[in-house]
Amino acid sequence: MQSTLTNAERWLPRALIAALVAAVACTLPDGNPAVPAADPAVFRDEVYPILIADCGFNVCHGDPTRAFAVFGPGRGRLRADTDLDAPVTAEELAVTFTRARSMLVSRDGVQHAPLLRKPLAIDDGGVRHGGTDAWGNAIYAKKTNARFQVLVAWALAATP
Amino acid sequence: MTALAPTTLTALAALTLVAAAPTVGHAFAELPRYAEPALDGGGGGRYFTGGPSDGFGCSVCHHGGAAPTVTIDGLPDQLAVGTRYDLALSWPDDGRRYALALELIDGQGQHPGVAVPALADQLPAMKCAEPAGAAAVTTVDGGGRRVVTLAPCGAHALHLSFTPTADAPLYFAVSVVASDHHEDVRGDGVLEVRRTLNASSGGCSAGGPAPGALVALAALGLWWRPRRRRDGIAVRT
Repeated sequence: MQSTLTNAERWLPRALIAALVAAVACTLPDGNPAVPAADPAVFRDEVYPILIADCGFNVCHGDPTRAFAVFGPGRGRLRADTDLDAPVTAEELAVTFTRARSMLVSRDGVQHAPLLRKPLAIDDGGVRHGGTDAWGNAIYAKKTNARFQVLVAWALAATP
Repeated sequence: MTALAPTTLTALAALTLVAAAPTVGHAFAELPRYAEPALDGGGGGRYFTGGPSDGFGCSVCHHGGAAPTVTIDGLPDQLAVGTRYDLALSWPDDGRRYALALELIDGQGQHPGVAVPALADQLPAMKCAEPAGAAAVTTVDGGGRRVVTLAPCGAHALHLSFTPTADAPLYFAVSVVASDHHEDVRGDGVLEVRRTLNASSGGCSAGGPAPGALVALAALGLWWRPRRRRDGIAVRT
């Protein structure tokens, strides 16, 4: 008989194993930096609108398999039965916040975190990013970009 | 807020996703949506032409289908100020619905007099098949840009013109989606074409190119001709 596993059934064992591994890992003094405690309200009001506009495309960070994923209206939805145009759900916002917060982790300090380096032009302190467009332009060409500065302010306000 | 190790955070994110089906995207083809704020599901001012102003084309969302073949006639290799250039884009009737976003722009973000024929002057191929004869092409102006969009209503050609007013390069970009008729972004083919159109004075010294450069250009031409057919576009100048 052909198996007809749902997505939840496929992912549940993997998620449980991941949680178990994570729980064990947390008890070890492995030296990993903690995830900064970022402000969820500022994220919702100021950061999320930028991420959904600049990052959340289906083939980019709207893909749920990406470590950094952004869900919301007009882009990928977390649940298949959510209407394309419906406002962002609390669950989508929470997952996006969690994923974005994980992008603040850096051994060299939050100013070097992926969220602040990946979208920035290499010439201005960024790093290689698949989201650089076909003309060679990064998401943010300069650190002074107003949208980038919103990300910076949120990230730097996060406490380790 | 309690600080968590990255591995824990990843696991929590995974658990949050357990009961949720993976993302199912949807089509993003209605013109007014592009100008709406991204928070409302719009493009946030991004028209996805693939030009320098947008950065991205339709392929950031639509994916999975065979790239369409589009013929572009009239794209000049070199521009002359004050000359009107007529472009014609066409694609076969392969059962899919085509939509596109196109623009020409200069280094200052201004369009070079891009014009589309009035509906009454358009060929039938430029108009919708459903409803028959309706306008498929819309232009949107803003901040010096003029974006030409074509709705997925059965048209299979686009004609437009432009007239450079300055001796400077122009950037041409078009992003074409061939939809599989399902209301999502999967299974759609995308073709994105970007070209830099050089100004008449661009690139050459006062004495003209060196003979070696001409040989290199000829060699490049021989190499380029078969390749440009493989990327789903046939350009005739």
